[in-house]
Amino acid sequence: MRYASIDVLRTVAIALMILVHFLENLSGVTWAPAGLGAPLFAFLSGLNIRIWTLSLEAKGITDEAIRRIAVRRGLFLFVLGIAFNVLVWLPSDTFNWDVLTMIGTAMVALAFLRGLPSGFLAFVCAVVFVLSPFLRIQADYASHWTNGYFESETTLPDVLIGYLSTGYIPLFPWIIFPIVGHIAGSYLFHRPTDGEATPRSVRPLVTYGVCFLAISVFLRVIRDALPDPIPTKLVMGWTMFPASPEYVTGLLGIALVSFGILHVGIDRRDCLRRVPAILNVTRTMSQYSLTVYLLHHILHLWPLWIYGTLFGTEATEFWHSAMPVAVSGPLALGCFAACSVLFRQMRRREWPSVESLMRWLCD
Amino acid sequence: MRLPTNTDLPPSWPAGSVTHRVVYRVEVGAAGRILAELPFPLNRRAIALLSGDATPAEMELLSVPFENPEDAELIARVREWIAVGASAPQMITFQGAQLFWGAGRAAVIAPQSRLTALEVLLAELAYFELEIGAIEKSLGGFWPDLEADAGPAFELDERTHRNRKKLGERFRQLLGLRARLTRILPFVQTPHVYPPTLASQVSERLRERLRMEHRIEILQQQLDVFERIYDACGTRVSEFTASKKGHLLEMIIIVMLAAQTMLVLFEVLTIARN
Repeated sequence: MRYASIDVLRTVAIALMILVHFLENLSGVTWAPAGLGAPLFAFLSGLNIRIWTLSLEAKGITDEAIRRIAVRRGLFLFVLGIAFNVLVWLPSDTFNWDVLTMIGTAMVALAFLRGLPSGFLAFVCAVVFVLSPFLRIQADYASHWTNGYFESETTLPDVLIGYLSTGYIPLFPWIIFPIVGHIAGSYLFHRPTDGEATPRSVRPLVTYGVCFLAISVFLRVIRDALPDPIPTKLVMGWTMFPASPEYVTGLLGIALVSFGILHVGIDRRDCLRRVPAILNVTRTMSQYSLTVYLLHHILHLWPLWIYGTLFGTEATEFWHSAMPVAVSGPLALGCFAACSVLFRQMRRREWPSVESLMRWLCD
Repeated sequence: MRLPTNTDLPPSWPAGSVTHRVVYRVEVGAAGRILAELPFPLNRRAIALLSGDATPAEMELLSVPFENPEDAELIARVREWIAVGASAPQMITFQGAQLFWGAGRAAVIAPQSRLTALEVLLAELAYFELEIGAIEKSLGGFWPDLEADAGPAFELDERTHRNRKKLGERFRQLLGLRARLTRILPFVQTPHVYPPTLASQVSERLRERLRMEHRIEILQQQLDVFERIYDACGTRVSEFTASKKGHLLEMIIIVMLAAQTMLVLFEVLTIARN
């Protein structure tokens, strides 16, 4: 079952992601909505796991088989994430812990946790949320982020600490997003056998979302009034690296509110039925989101590395300074448009993609 | 005094012949007359609908007053009437009365003096027959579910536990069927009445012909099997729910311990790193 609202939201995340990555990696410009894409992606992945497992259950596949498939898919994403780091970010960044490894881990975790009550999953999220700042303090987060980006030694302690707490997208607290997505999906999408004929109201989701946003604003407001070391170590302001409590609650709020509103508007009231072209684009981009994620990195980073190798002293010499925003911005838009056309062709001709490879290997 | 009922019989039928379109209701409707009061606690009345009433009848009753019930031509006509939809209609001749029984139809040919008592008898029996038929049909529909639910009666898994509402609903429906069966039981399995009357003797014979006691026995056995399975399912569901709550508490403790372990692990990793 596909939900157009999820497609739309994911396409927005993809568009933001492409734009942000092009601007940042090619021009060194950190754009304001830079932190929106990854949390939305993670939230939607949790939501999708719920919808996907429901469809498997409807086909009569046993819980045990579903768990196995989910674990295989999670491991596939994890290994793909490591391979992606090696091939795209170069071997020195093998263990930078990006979004794929986090979503892969979350998928494995949800394979085992999905049968548990939502209240318990919310409790797990709360524990992760509370624990995360303390783990960062314990791990001395700043020492892993010299020169403004994550750097770690290839030693077991560094790799583990990076994976759990100090990497780009570490488990603590990022795993909260897919779990909350799964909780939202469990609330909204139920089994036909559950005996609920009418769809549930999205009001609780939106209400929780507004509450999260209010917590985020509250933390931001009281931050300056808090005694040291709370503002420097725990409530750190709106930062993605590390994902501060304000950032996590704020993004959870944005994800829940935007999904709730889009679900009512697009899925239930069919507001976009008069513009099928938009639905067509969003469906295509959403369907190939994993491939888009990998492809847009390859498209803009590999030329950068090759150019650096040929005309600079090292491959990464022109990273953040290859071209002005006036060039990288249009290039990002062109990349999005090209991907849209390419994936429509791929869908029509049933060409293989990373998603189909995952299904072939794991299902 | 007889209120007009269906008068669609042609004039060639003996005078006073009438068909009743009968429904069974708790309360008397606006249009219709009470044909029979079913005994307590059935709490139903057999209502003969007035002609022109479009309410679907639960059974049709042909009542023919005739002093010579063994008239071959009349019997043939009644058999023809009753045979609509029935493969093999039953017929009983008893003390000058002819009684016929088909699918959803019954007929009686008797002298006027005995007609009313026999009409009441047939209306009552038809109700029991309808009830037994309805229970048989409902129970028949449960068999596929029973086969699917036999597993959870022994061992319950997460997916079946999610279907506990449906299991409970089936159990409630079965109890409802059992209650319906039990309610008609004293009238169907009644001992011989003494001193015997025409109605009581005809009733005994018709019940025997319709194999009512035998069918009720079968239904009871089937209900026993269903109840045993769904009773076991209920026990398993309760046990599963209780253990799930217990597990939840354990898991909360495990999460707290895991959080503590994570902090300790981090301390160790940080020391190792430095």
